[in-house]
Amino acid sequence: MLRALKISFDASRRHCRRRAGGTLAGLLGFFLLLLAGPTARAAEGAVSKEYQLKAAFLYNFTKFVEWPAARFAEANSPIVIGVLGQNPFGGELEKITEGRTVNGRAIVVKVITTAEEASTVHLLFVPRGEETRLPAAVWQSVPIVAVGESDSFAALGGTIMFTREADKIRFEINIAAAERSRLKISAQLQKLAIAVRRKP
Amino acid sequence: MPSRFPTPLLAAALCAVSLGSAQTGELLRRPAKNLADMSIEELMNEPVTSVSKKETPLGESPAAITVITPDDIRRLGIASLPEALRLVPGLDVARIGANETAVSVRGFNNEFANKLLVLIDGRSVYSPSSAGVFWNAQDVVFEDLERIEVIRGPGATLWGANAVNGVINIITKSARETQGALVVTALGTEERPTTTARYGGQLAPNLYYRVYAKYFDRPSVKTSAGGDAGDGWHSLRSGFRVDYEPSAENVFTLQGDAYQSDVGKNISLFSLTPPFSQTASVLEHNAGDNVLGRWTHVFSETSRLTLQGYYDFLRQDVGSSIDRAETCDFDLVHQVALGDRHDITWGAGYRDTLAKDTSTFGASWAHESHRLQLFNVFAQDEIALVPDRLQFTVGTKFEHNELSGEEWEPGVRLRWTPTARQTVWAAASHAVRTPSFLERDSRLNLAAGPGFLVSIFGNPEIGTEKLTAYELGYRVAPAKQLSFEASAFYDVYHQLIVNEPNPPGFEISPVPPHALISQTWRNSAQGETYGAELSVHWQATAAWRLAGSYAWLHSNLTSVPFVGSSSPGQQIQIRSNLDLPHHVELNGAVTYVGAIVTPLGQINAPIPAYVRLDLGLIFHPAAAMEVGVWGVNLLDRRHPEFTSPQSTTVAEMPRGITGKITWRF
Repeated sequence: MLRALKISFDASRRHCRRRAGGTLAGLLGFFLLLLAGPTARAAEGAVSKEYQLKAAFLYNFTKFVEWPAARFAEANSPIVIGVLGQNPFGGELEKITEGRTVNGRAIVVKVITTAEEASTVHLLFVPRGEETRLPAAVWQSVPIVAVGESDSFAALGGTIMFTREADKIRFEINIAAAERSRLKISAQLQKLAIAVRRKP
Repeated sequence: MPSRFPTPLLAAALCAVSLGSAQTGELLRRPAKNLADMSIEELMNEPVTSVSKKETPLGESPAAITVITPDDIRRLGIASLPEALRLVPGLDVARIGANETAVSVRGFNNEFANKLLVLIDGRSVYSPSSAGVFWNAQDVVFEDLERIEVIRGPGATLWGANAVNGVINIITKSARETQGALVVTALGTEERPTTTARYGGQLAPNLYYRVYAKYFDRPSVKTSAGGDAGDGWHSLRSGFRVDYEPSAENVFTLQGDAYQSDVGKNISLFSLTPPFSQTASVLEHNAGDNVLGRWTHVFSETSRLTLQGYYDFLRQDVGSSIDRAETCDFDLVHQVALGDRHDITWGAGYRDTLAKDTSTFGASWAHESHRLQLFNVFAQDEIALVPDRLQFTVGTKFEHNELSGEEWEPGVRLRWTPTARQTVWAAASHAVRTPSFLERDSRLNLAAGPGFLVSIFGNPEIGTEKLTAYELGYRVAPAKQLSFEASAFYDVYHQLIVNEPNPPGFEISPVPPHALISQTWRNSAQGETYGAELSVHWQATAAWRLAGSYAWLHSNLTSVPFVGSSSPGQQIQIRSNLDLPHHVELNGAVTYVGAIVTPLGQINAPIPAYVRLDLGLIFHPAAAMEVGVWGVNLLDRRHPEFTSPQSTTVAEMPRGITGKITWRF
């Protein structure tokens, strides 16, 4: 039925379609022209502002978390930040944390691909698209601050979720998940979160 | 005349833009701040991209604006766009039946309320054939909705023709905000069932997509006589959206949807031979598709360009006739600050609509196809007379279309912000409503009997309806938890289109020869409406939020039999959102809608006032899952809200109960 109707209307439709096709193609060309500049820059390895900011957030988060003492071999053992899978930060995280200490601990950045490696970190960043690379049990069973950036990550019981409010970065804290992992997140950080989830 | 996109303009824009990008792109990069030294508060104030809309904080907008958030919609379990609009003070939403809704603001409600412009992600869904919105053809995935912005009062200076009494902007989230899988299923007396599936993923760095499909099947309701209104319907819709943010200066969006639906209706068919009139149950097949591309480019902190193009196809059964319309539209908007005091927004647009309408006995057309080409340019300047205190906005749109010629739609607005917690604004604006193809070109046979026919004739000479509106508004937030808003309007209408009786006549065609009782659409009515909308929001405790609103409307229109103006005089709504322990939310709304004293054509009986109570309980068994149950219209078994001029029976809206599961993974 619909097919027949579509055919009957085809003639007039083709008229506009052709025009629409032409102009859409024009629009696309317009887009591509403009893309040439920015993508050339992107290829040089520039990290988007979003991940520059997120790197700074991750560094800041380490100041507000208390891990169980057993997670560190010694009083001055470094805090290890792990980035799971594809690293969206480039060298940004290293650049930000270089030469800085938090509570007398240096910060080490590692790119992680296996569960075994993941269990050694204190803070694990799970980039968008990497949520299912490792079983969620990895960060649910060990005191690891798991930081993600997607709804699907929130569903996996992560500790901190980045969100966006217009063009500003916001974050939510799942305090129940933190408690289950025996992490203490300072009230100061909780106050800055746009939401503090207390559900399991 | 063949349609041509203004190519020189495009070429010029292209040159200017690519030059701008190449030469100034690098210059715009500010020296990188040392992010490591910033506190979390400071980081939270840093924009991710400089492509952010130039947004005036809502509390300071010099217009009667209400924003519906996805949270408002989620809490009340709202499943359709018209139902969501009930949350806006002064919006007049009246269900005609299961699948038809009349939506208007500040008067003139009708199945095709013709003074309200509606856009979904920048695409107009106002039909130039019927002058109005086919609400049963519009839908979104509510979980992917960013917000619905409703502006009461004219928006013609920026949005152009038909933004007479209001503009509704329905805006969906960027694909990057809707990553992962979502499945929603609702089952209830009004849903049997509705299922939505959406998946969002990432194709490359900064390149995100989502795809969705949504199906619903909604049952018919009963008529006031107790019979079946025959208006059950089902619909399948799917679509995609791709967002690409390659750099801080550019955002690209490509999106599209396609749908088809089978919509049940009881219609009256007339003939000049016995039985003259009979009611038929029909299943209308409606379909549509659209694709839209948008590019936003930032030249600098104070200069930003948006270019958008879309194609839209619509096939809609309208009573006994079929409307097929396709539209190509291009828009350019540039926002630029000149000095410290001037914020200029200017732009241009071109739209080409080709409509084909089939003729039947009930509705016939002098021409089977109609073409409407619309060209517009506009400019608006926001002038800071006293920085942060007094702002004056002046602007106009100039439109040209082949049918009604040239239109100017100017407006001025003044905003005074005496303290950080108070805003006073005033506005005067002019808007027009262009005649529909129907009013211009059709013949509707409304009733027939032995030897006579009742008809309405289109009028090729018909002109635009004109409005001059005066508005006044006040907003105050006495405390962080409490805000109050009031707006008042006085609208003066000229050249309103009504059908005026002709002297009785005689026709030999169609056969058999018969007496003709006819009317013709003419710009012969005028009048004024005035009223006010009040609303208050109170965050009573951290877990309890209350909202209340009141709207009052008075119409004073010339005494010609006025068809199509039927809005309640008063509306009241109180909403409560309560977060309970154990991840439970209890939400509710009580709405009073006043009587409609003179319904359409004064043929049908007045619609009595009604009170509606909706309650919902939501539970989160897991972080990624939400289970809700809602009861709507709890106070009565069923009640009428509106009457359709096409139907002699009145459908009534029943009490309903719906359960819904939302699952993200």
